[in-house]
Amino acid sequence: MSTRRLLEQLAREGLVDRDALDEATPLGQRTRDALAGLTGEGLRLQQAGASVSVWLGALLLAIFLVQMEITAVVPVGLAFGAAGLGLAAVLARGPATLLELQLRWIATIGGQVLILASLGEVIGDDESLCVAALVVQAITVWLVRDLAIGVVSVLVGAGALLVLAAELHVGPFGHGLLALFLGTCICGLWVLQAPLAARLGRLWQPLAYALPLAVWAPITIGAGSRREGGDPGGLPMFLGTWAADAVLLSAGWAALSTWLIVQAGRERPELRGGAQRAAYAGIGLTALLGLDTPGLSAGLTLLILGQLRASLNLRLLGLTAVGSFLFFWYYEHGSTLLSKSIVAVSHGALFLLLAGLLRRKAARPRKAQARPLAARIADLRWLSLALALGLAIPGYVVVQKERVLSSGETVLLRLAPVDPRSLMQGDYMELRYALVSELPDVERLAPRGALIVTRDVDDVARFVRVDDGRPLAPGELRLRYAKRGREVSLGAETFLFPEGEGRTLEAARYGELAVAEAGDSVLIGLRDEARRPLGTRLHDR
Amino acid sequence: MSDPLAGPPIAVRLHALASAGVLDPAAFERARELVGGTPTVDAWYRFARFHLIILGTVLAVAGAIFFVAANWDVFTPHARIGLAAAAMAAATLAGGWIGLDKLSGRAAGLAGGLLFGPLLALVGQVYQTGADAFELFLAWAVVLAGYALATRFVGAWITALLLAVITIYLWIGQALGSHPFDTPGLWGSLAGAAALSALALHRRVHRGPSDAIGLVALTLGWCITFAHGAVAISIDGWPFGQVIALLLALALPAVLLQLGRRLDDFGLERLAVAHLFGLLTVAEGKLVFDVLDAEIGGLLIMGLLLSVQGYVGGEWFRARRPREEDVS
Repeated sequence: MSTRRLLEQLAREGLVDRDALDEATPLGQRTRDALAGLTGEGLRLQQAGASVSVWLGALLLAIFLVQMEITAVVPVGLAFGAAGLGLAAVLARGPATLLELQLRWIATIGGQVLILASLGEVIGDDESLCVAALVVQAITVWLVRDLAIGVVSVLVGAGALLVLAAELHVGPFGHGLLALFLGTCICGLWVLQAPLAARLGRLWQPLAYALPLAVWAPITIGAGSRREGGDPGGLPMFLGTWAADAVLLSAGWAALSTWLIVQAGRERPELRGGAQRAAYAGIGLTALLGLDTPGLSAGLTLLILGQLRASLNLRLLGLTAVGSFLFFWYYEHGSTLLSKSIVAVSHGALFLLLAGLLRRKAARPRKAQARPLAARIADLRWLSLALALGLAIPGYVVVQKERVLSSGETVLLRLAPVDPRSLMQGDYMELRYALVSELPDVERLAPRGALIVTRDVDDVARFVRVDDGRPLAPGELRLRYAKRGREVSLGAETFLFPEGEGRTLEAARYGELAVAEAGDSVLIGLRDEARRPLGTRLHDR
Repeated sequence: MSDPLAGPPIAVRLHALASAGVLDPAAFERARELVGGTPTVDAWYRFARFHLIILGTVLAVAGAIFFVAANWDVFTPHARIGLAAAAMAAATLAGGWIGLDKLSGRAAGLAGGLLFGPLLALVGQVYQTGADAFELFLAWAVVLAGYALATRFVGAWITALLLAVITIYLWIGQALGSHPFDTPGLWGSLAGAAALSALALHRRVHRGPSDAIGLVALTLGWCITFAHGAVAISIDGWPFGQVIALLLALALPAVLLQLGRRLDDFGLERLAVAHLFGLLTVAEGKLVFDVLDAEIGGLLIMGLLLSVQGYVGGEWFRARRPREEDVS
């Protein structure tokens, strides 16, 4: 169906004036003006004109002017900047060629940089500069009648708002309220799109298209920087305690999701009743289970909004927000991994339970026949093979390590620890063994081999020589090594420990290894200066 | 100039008409209804079920990862390993029992494959096999490829592919003690980029541009190859490895252009041109700022060069982009 056909259909139903189809009438002209930049050719032109090369080129030209100290004379800088924005506004008044479209971008970017750089000469603080950036973006959206430039301006404006909030040290709750405010704006713009588009005019599109991208930032970014003890720059969705402010934010996102479901019922009355009640229950339980994780609720709100407005982009944004939130959440130290695990698993179980209930209760035709047993067995056969492979690998490692543990000698190696968090395996210490620094001429070492060590009365290892095949003297032991670049690894350079034991293990001065006859080793634990074991011991030998 | 009313009534056009006051709220809602912009009950059902199953699976597996990472010492090490293995086996067998022809069955099977990661991580914790995660990710990628073969689930293949790429870079850093832009790590990274690009192009030729595995492989291969090309141009001295990297970075767009023309695939052509323009920009930057040592003047030269480049690229884009919409 073409836009013309659609308008004809609406005219037949009395919803649109027929003049909209007639180019000679004012309404017909308005229709064409509205769609002028959005024809197939217009959209192609927009894509061709908005290239990274042009943006970077414009930025460099503007920086050149700033470097030439044009903005040092503030009125001159402001005049040039205003001229740039004015030129962009004039170029955006009518249909454009590719060159004119690209000049719009160059003039807009150049104008904005010159104005902000000039204002930077007289404005002393970052907060005021953020406000100035917001005002400049608002002026740009108002002046330059170009949808793509409008969208980017709203994005930059939202970025300035977030930076302003950080500069004002509004704290986690303030950032959360800002995210919730943006979320409310997004839901409002899209749920009430028909009346708001008519009321806001050409402002509606840049706001509705750009704000969902802007809210993604406070949902996800910054989680990794939050540390125990509280960081004022941290974000609320990563609060470690069930504080009243986190509850409020979570409830806020749940309220937005509820609004979207209410709207879905209005637009599709068939959804009212059981389906809607189940959705309310799901949203309520999600908020309840994740009181300190409103970031998850925010992602789900975007997802539901995407479905309500049949927008794949919004749905993808919602999924991306949930995925990014989970990633940053893992590295956040405000709450324990155990409590995060409970929250994530309970959410997962709730969703799977709801999916099962939905299948049972939904009034839609289902395949009447049960799946034949032969088909199930065929599926199980292939999956069992994959499962066997999956269990064989860790099984082999377990057997190998248990052998070393049961027959190995205890050796202590002097060390110097530090403590990051591993991808997947939790908190750990990086261990550096003093023994390695005693090795002569590491460059000449074979890529793999064994070191010969002896032990003193406290089992502390002393380096003797690199294994050259000679028989071992009494009291000597082999210890395997492997070269990694210029480093020598003894196979136990990290010690993974239970969450919360980091402080206790700071006293570690020795690594305790079980070393088998062939030189294979297992790191059993850590010991302090007096050789006393530290922390939880997994293998009592 | 084409007729503004000729194109299909996509969302951006309806929004523009509503913003201009051509469509009042009632007309706008009716227009959405006519173009299928209001999801049906069935669409809501499919949306809810799909996302509940996928998000439920992802969150359950994420919870398992968090649990393992917590390294909770209330259970004995062997009990923990047993629990993780039991969870993996239960999810896998549940997938087979529900049936791999259903989304829930495939998701359960995929969860079984994903739970292999936490299981191996747990073994690593208990026996302190090291936080060098590349061995873990390598084993995980292999096992997940097995699950992907069994479940025939695109999501499983994509996850296995991503794990394989992570493995390469962890291996370069942790096993080779090297860097992706420095030998010997460079060879590993280049081999990975070439393999990804070859896989992507093979799938593009045989399955078309909408193939999800091909798209992921193409995105990764393109990004890695471009990064190598950019570093090869900007590095001083041109060691042998960087020459090979640059040759690969130039060969990829050549192949993309050739294939794009042969398959009438504008996406490939566009990617090739973006690649070449990007490398050209890096070369210009090197020439202006490093060789000619132009400081402030260099900003002007680069700004003008990039603007011209943007114009030339834009004209190429307009000339080459298919115009199917104009004839509707």
